[in-house]
Amino acid sequence: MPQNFVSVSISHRRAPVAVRERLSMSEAEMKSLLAQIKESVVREALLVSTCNRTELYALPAEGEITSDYLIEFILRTKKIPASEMEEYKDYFERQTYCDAMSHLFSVIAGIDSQIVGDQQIFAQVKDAFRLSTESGNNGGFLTKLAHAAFRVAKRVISETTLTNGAATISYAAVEFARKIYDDLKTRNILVIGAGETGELAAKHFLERNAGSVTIANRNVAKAREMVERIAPDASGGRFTTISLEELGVALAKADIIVSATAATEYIVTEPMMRAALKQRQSKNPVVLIDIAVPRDIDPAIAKLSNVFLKDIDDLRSIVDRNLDRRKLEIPKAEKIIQEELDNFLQSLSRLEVGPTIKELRDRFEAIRKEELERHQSKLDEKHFALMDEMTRRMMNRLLHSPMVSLKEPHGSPEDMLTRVEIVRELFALDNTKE
Amino acid sequence: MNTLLTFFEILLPLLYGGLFFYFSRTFFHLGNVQRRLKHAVPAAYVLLSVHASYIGTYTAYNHHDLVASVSELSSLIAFTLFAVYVFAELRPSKETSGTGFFVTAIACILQTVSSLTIGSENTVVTKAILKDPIFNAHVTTSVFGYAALILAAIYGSLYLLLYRAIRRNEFGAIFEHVPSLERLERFGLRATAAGFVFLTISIILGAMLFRTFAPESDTLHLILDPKVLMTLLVWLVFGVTLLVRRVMHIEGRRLVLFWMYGFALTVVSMTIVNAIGTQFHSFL
Repeated sequence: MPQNFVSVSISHRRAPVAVRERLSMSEAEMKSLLAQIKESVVREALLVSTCNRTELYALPAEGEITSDYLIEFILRTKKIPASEMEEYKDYFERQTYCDAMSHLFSVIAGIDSQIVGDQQIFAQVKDAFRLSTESGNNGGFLTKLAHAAFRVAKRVISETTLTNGAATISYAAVEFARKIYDDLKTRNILVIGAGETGELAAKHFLERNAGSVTIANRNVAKAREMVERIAPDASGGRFTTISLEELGVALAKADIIVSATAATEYIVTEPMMRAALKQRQSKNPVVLIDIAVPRDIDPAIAKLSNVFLKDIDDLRSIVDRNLDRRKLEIPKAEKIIQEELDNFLQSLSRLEVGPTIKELRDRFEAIRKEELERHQSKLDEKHFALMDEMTRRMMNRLLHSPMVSLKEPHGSPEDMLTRVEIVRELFALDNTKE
Repeated sequence: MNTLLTFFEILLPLLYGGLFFYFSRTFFHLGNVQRRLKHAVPAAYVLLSVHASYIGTYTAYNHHDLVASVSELSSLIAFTLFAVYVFAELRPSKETSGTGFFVTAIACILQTVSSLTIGSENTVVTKAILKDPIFNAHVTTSVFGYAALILAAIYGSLYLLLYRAIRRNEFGAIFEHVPSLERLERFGLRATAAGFVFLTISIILGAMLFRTFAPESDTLHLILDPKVLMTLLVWLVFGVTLLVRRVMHIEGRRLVLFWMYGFALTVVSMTIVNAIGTQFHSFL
């Protein structure tokens, strides 16, 4: 029964990054956990693991399973020593039934993310459902839950502005550049630095269909590795890697320059840029975005004509503004989550009512027949037919009220499911099935 | 019929005003632009249909197109400007409605001026010329030319506003909802080119009309006519803008400033010319 649906979650809300890192799982680890859990008392299971959260949702095969059981499952998979288990358990959030479903919807909608409105989580939860299906952990319940969750995410994207605007510095850099050049296909982009920020910026440029991207780095091999990571397919052809010694030539060709190195001195100085502008054939403006701390680009360059220079503080103001606006959209997203949760529970209760009524009727009918057969030898044919008719009528009249009560859509969807659950328990329908 | 025309003359400024309000909500409230655009396109079609109906009714009632007075021309320019914006940007646009805010503001002002003054001034063109197809083509191409130039001015203004916002790190409504500098420059140049072509055709047709309707006047009379003189000046400025870009490769802010000076010249010249004379041309 969905009332036994349970989830355990470790995320940025309660756990420090060191703990989250330790419990984060690779795809192989996720597959392994799902394979093991299938062998246990869990009927359906979903495992979401990103750099910011590890969550396990489970529907038990019979009775109830405790959240501690699931937490220990995760901790054992990650080989956390027994001595540390209690400490780790404190970082977990535990939810059941509607709270667990609502939590999943909040996660996929991006309102539970560290960066509110993060859209990556949608794809990550989708992947989690795929893994669950592949490992045979996805039954009827999780399939329906997945559809409801995807609907939540799509509605939040289309009906709110929760996901609008850049929410990270590297993305803000790309969006800023697009305010000057909207078609990046025909532009030469130069990314200086092959670190994490530079890589993210290059990735965003690639997503925005950048035509030509040059990566300049002190260590060219590292730049090449970065290109292989972000563009292992044919799109890698759009990348060129150069050393910092070749920067002068690249500056003259570039329309958009993003710098993100760990250098302590300016990488692009005013005389360098002045010379580059002289050599430049295009009359289009040059966009320079400095996302390094300490800065890589001499601020004096901003005074040169036909140049736009922005640093990390300028971009931070764009990001802060967008994040504030996203937070204002949370109530709208929560309303969507509640609506979809109600719809989901309603559809579940409809699905539960039909089989429950049938099982109830079958159980009564079986008892009636059993009793009739027991007394058949003591009755002649006429009396047996009379008894048969009388007991059938009695059974129908006795069942009438509970069946009407089950079918009537009064109360919340949660109430309907509870009524189904009570009937099943009172008449031991689940035991009969087995 | 007269009641129907009055009804249209009251309704149209209200509709333009309503749409302006709608676009301004998107522009300042930073709401879901995509969702608003869904309603904006049908609303724009309704407005264009109402305005087209007004033009049709007016023409049938007065037996001439909306070209015989400044009030009539204002309404026609409002319609043309809005139609060009709807079909060139709003309908195919998938990203922004920032320009709509400015276009509807100008169209609303033009239509309000027209609705308030129409009928209070005498039509200054003779009946004979109003029935001439070349005259109608001459005025229509002029209207299209000036509407395109107004649109170019809107794109130019937005370019300069966005440029300033970026320079000053003002990441508000302008930064959020106005298209990129590259796109504004491209749209503005297209509008300038279209305006230049329409004005060229209009000038040629005007010269043909001059020979038909003022055969006794000499060519100097034609060139010294204030409206012709100003139109030639404006045509020259926009022609030079296009030439400067092509020959001297001037782009970006400098080019936009060049065409914005041209637009300012248009506004000033037209104001002076309309203040001096009420006639379309001195030789008619």
